[in-house]
Amino acid sequence: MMIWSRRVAALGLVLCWPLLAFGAEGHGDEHHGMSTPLKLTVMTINLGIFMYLLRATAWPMIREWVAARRGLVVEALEKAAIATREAEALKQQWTDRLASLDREIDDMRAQAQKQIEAEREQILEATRKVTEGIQRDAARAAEQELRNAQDRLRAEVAEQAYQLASRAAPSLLGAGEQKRFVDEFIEQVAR
Amino acid sequence: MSGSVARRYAKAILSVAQGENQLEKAGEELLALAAVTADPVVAAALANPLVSEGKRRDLATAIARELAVGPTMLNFVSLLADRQRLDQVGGIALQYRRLLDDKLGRVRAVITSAKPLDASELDRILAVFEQKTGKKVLAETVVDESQLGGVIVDIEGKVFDGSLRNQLKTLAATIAGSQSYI
Repeated sequence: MMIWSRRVAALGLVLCWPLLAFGAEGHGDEHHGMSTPLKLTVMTINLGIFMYLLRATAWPMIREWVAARRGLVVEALEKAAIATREAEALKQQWTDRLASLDREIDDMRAQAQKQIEAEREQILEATRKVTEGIQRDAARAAEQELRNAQDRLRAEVAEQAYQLASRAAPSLLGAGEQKRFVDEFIEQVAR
Repeated sequence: MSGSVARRYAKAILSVAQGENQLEKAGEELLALAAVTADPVVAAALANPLVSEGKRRDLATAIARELAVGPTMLNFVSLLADRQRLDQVGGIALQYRRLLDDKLGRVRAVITSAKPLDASELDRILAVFEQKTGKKVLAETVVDESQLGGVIVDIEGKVFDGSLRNQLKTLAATIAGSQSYI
């Protein structure tokens, strides 16, 4: 902070110095009548002092400003270079993609075809299972119906056989058979 | 009247009859009384509330005298009339017979056959059941031609069916329930 205050003060002195020098020169002309070589020498000394002051005070600020400016420019240039590289990479990427677009389309088409095939297989498999289930149910129902019909037939046959035997028994069975039945009964009860 | 009440009366008359050594006779008299009082006309008269208790008792004792029952049974009928239990003589008679059978170690059986059994067959059947139950079997025989052949013995609710009809039915059921395909 102190350095900057001093530099600003020196810069102000540098800028005011020519005015003071030319002011003193005007008064000199009016009152003393200074010769031309001397005037030239004084002017040269003034210029030298001015240049020295300028070199000592303003030059570091200018140099710093230029350095900062150059840093900004370099940074901007670097950013621009990075952006350029990124743009080029993107461009390259898109160029590559465009170049491989046909291949990608083919891949996508192949993949889509594969998915369609898989889905078709799934649908066919599901249909096959449903069909098998229906066939199984139908077969089971048919078997059950067959069993029911067989049961009814057996029951009918058994009933007919019982009726026939019941009607035929009195005429076929004599005293011997009755005795045999009694013997068997006694044997079974005694067992 | 519940069975337990009939059983109590039966036990009471059994005790008295045993003391008089009249067990069988008391049973026969009870059965005769039960048969008469089961008649619808007699039963209606004995149960009619319009008939006085005295007249009902007179009617019951008159029936008992007509059946020539002993004095013990006559007193028992009077007791039943006094306690308005005359409509339950049948139950008491059955309980008495059951108690008496238990006491004397015998069971009753109904033997049903398609044709009349000869004495030998009946004896053999009784013998096998006496051996099986360990009691003397009192048999009542019934002829039922619909049984086709063989014998059925119902011994106090437990039925031994050796009839041809039952065998044919068993055979028919076996055929009907057979798993083999026709």
